Amino acid sequence: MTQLLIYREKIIRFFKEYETWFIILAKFLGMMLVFTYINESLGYYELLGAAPVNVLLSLICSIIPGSFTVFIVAVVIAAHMLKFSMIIGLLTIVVMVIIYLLFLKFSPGHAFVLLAAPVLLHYNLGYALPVVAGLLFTPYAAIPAAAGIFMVSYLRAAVQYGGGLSVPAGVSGTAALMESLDPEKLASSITQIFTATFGDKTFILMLVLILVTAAVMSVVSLFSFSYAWYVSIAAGVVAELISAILVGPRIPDAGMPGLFTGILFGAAAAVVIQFFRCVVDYKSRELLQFEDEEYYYYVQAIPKYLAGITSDEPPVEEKFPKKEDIIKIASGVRNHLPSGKKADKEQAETEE
Amino acid sequence: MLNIKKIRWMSQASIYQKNEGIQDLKENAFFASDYVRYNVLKTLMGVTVAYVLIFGIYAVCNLETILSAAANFKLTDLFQDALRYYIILLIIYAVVSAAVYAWRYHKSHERVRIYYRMLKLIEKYGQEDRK
Repeated sequence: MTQLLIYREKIIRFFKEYETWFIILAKFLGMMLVFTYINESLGYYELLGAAPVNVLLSLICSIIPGSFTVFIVAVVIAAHMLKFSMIIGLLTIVVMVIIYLLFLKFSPGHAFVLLAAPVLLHYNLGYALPVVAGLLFTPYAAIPAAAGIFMVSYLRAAVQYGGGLSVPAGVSGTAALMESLDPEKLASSITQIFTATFGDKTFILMLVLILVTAAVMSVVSLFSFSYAWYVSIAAGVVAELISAILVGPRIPDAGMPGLFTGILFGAAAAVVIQFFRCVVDYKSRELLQFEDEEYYYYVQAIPKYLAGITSDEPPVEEKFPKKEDIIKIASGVRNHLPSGKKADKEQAETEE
Repeated sequence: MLNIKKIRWMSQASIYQKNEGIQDLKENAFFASDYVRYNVLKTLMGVTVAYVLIFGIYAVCNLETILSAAANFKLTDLFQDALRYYIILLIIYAVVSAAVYAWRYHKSHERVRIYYRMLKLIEKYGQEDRK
């Protein structure tokens, strides 16, 4: 364990030293996967499928904020669909605008979930997302994840049933456009596309799984018993499995390939993330009680393993402060809290 | 001599300012009620645009139904139904967005208050240094 903690500290130090570059690299690799997936699935605009263009787009996306990344991905998808068929391209833009206005407006900062859900599902790892999202985000992450998967179902249906609306090769001009605007053909194609899209209920299954898993994990992680964070991951895994078994068969046509591998992969990823986020020494837990003139305090303090090691030394636990020091720190902190009446009083006195 | 406490508070304040601070300070330029009203209004406008687009898609898919309703003078019924769904959608979104934006403002307001206290502490340490 000690050796493991030393490696952890070394990795964290190395990561912090080159943090900016690691984040750019991770975003770049993630966006390469996203664009490769889009080009594999759609690929009508040959220029966008070229490797240098993909690399350039991924590079741009790795240095801009998440919301702009989503915009660029939407533009790439729209370009592919416009090349496939003018009508289907316009319909795709309309569908993306509707999804943004109705569902994504409330979720700034969830670009990762929106883009990761379809890509992970494509590689049969989609069911890893609920546990990881439960650890890193709120249950609200279910909405962008479901929106991403819905969009994939829509695009699949659009490609399958929208072929009749595309202009045949070698034909151009107003006549070809009018041909594709035949009202009966248009109505039947769009109806087929939306029937197929809403027929694929994978997005509802993912919505339920993330909501349940994230809710269970956020509740369990609030408890103060030992290893609560790791127990919350285990509880999330169990909740996701039970929900998938109970809800999955009730949703016809919901895709569930890779459920078990996905959940296992998600649990392993969540444990690794939590290990690097925070490690505490539960054996040195201290339970304290003290009071000041306004409050009575029941404090449970668990020391962290701190990053205070040199290359080959064992990890140094933070020297636990004395009870008097904790009282001093606690009253000092409370004075700086926004709700502290005493702090407000003192501040008013200072201002006078 | 370096004041370690002051440097700690300055680092914390700077980290906050660089991340959540940008959005929080922008949001806190409004009063809570104004912020919630403004964002609910924006959301309802977005919902209206989305509803018009959804209705447009519905109209394209069901052109025959709409034309036959128009021929039988039942177009008003159709529009009444559309209006009813629109109002229900507006009510749902108004309630949800009001709750979401009120909660968001409350959270950002808490963070901004702590940030201002950090600034005051930094100023206090600065004055001590000068003495």
